[in-house]
Amino acid sequence: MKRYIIAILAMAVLASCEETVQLDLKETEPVVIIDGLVSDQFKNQYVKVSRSVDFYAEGTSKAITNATVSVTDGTTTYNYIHNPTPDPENDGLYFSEVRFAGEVGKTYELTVQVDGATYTAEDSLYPVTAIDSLTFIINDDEFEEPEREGYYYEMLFYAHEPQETEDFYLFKFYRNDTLVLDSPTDIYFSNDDLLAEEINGIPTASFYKMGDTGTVEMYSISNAGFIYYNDLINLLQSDGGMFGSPPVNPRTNVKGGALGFFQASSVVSETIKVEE
Amino acid sequence: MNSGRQLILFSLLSIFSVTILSAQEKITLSGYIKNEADGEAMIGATVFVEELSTGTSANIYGFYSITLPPGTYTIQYRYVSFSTQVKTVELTEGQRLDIELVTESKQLDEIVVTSEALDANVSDVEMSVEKLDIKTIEKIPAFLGEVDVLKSIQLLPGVSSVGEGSSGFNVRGGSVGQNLVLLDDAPVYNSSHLFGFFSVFNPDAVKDIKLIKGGIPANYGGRLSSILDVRMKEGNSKERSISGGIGTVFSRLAVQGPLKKDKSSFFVAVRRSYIDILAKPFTNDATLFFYDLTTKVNYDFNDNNKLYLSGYFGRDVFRFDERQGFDWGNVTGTLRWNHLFNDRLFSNFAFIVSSFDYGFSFGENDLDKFDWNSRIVTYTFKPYFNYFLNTNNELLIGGEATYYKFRPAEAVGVSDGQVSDISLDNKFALESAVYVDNTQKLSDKITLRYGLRFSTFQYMGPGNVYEFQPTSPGERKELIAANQVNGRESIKTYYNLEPRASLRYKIGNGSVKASYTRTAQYIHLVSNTAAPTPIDLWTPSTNNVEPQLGDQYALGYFRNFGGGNSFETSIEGYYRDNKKQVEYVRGADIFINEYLEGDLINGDGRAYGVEFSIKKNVGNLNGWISYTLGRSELKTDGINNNEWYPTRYDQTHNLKLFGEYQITKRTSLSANFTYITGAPITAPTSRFTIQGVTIPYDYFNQRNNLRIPATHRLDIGLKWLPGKPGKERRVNDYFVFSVYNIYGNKNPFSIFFSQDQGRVIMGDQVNTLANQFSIIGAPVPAISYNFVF
Repeated sequence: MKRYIIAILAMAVLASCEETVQLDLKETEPVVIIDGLVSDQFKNQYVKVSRSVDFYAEGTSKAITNATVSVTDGTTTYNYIHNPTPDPENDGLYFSEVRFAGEVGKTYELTVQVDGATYTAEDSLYPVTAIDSLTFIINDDEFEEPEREGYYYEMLFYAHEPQETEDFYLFKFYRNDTLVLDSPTDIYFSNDDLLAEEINGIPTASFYKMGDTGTVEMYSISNAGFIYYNDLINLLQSDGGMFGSPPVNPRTNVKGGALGFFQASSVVSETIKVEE
Repeated sequence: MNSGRQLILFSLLSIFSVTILSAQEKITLSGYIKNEADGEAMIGATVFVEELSTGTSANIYGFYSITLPPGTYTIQYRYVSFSTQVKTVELTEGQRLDIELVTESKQLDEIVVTSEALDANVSDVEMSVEKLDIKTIEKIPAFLGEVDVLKSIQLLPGVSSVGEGSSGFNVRGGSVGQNLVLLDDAPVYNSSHLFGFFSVFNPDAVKDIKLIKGGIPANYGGRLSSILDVRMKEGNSKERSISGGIGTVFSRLAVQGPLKKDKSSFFVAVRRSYIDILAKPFTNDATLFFYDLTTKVNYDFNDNNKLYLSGYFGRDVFRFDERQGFDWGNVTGTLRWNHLFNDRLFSNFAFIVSSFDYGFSFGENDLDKFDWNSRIVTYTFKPYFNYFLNTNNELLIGGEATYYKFRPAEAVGVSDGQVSDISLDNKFALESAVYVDNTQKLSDKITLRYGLRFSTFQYMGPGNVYEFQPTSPGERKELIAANQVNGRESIKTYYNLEPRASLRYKIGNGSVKASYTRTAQYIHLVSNTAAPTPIDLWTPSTNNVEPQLGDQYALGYFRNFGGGNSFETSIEGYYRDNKKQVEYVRGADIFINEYLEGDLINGDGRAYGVEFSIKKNVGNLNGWISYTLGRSELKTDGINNNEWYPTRYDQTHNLKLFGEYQITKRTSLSANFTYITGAPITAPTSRFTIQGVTIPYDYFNQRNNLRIPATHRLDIGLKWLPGKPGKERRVNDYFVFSVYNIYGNKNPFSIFFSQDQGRVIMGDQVNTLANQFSIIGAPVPAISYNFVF
């Protein structure tokens, strides 16, 4: 909610101008970036390991292919293998050797070793509330002036939010299995401060046409995860407006000098088709 | 430390007792000095006794008092650009002599040559003080042709702002929240209109502006960096007058006149901007405007009692559509009673209320909306006694008590008809101070001003008292306990002794001045945005947030050159040493955060610099050059490896030039040039891609590690008085044509970092970009028409 306010306020007040500038930024050493998820779905869980590049560098983040990766829940340790299929698109991605599902209440610890350095991270897996239902409605504004012809159905989302616990959620929305966003730099997540017990038809991102399927994935995240996503969105939506705060490196739960986030989540998902 | 304080107290006492003993068998001459044309009190007018080469000056209410041995004296009453009045006074018994000074040229269109320029800058004990009269301010080419008090102040040495379009001003490396802004004694908690392009002070209503950057006398306190004391006009007590202006952004109208001739007068000034109308094509449904009303009424009951009532009410409104928007504004009210106990004891009692609030409304209907507002309200009582002991001593004794009510956030969200209230509890505090201050002439060469202020602050209930556990330095502190306090009991009390001292020593045609100031600041302006904004939050010192404490040392040399002191020059050096300056943890969240105190940390601050100033006051070409070389730094546990780092407002070079050339009797051309080193920002060094987005990242994790480009700008203005030479017009009117930023420099308001394009698809390169946002990127021409009749 607050982000929304601040984004709107950042609109320029007077005839102003914005341009890309070349700054004299320092060159630095690359840093190891870890991005992993243990979900409560039974599957090969993944961890991605890469290196950062300089601000103005050419090329993408550099995949790390020689890391040793494992995850433990305290009793069982799961080893991860780099790009088992192998698929060049999956360079830097490590999958658990065996399929497993995370369990609510457990804390998962990740260990990554790269070139003699060891990085660890842990996150707790919290329950997620069920999605009661999804519906489609016709968005009047889009119906009158659709941005894309035929795309004027909006997906609404219903759920019960347990008020006695402090919960944090991450949402992903898919149209025909493709992730949809209102803006490319959006991430949808929330704490439950402004969520009432009855979540009665909250609009989701983007619009759908007749015959499309819409999917909502809802993830439980920890407080650390909420802080991490909050830091990311601050960086992504920085617009230099009057209300923008200075950039801050995203806080991480990875120890040992690497960045990124290792997340444990329960996931629920619901799909619906736009029909007459 | 304790013995040091006792020593100071003791020496103060001994000086007073000596002077009181020597004040026998003397006679007092006193009275008010006013402007003959409109009856306005003349603040700081000089009273000079020829025979003794001594004198005094009128206080802020125009009252003077001088005590001399019996005899006959020739007394000169002087004020810049007013004819000096000379009175021969035979003093055998106490005398009241009210004076009205006549301006040297009543004709607006004649060139004023001051017959005898004053050398107050050299002879006064005051240092680090900048005064601007409204006539000078009117000459400075202004943004959109509208003269502005705060923008003009920024042309003076030691004063700057973080960027074009940022609210407030910075003095000697201090933050915006370290300035105390007073409008007729009332604190103004946010001094900006239109996000900082204009100030809340209507130039039509302003009589006198004084910015105290150092050597702050003991009657002021509560902020570390500076005091901006703005006095409103009382209103013409002789005749009705209407003045105003029609400009590109707003129009002004002021009416003043006597309610009862020479006894009572009133003043009302209003402004309303219409930029919303002009900006319509760009903003669709959105509107943005401000309005304000400044008013004052006063009444002279008799020679010894005067009452003044003044008020300010202003608001900025920014609407996106009918239901959604943002607004903010100040309200102040001051009731003052001047009472003369006798011809040497002047007193003033002020009752003040001041409030600042802002509010947001969002949501398309009543079932889905979000309303949020925040407010600070203060009530102040300020008694003060001005005792003109004798020719050599002028004593100020007074006190101040302010009751604060902070409402950090009242926030209610409605989501699908269900209401969630996330409002925060109010906070309360009481700040009080007593002070004594004496100005003492030791000899012709040496004048001293010294004082002591004792201030206390009570953070009090009802409210929640939080206890935090420090985690690693520089990170958010963890809450460990919260206790409810119900009554008005004190939660935490702070107190400070604040000694102040200034010295002036005359050498030849110049003088050396030195000063020391200790100030304590108990309320803090919390702002974590790139530039100060109206939604910055005032918050009290609490059990977790300690008061800020500052020491300032200043040393300067003042010297005038040329006939009639046509050139005034000065060099001043300053060093400021601050303790417990407010800083923020990484990723601090200052909006609607119940545990804000856990996000505030403090650090040591230091600022130092040298200010150079050359001013030419007379002739067809006049103006000034001011240059400041300065540094402002912070050292905070857990930030930037515990090393000194620059503050957001550290600006190494600050050069301002202002010149005015009288081309003909009816036309004058003016120009001003500004160059300020770019302020430091926090910039990333690297980037990485995660979960489909590219994130800028700072490898060194350093705050304020990069400087944005310097700000520089040239503005010009042409003032033209219509009519024929020598022929007096019924209306005194003039046009101002101005161009702001004439060479169209794109001065940065902010630099921000973003990802280049859409969502990252595996294997794609997505760059990060640095973008510069300039609020004004082109020359801005403007015309305004101003009149008085």
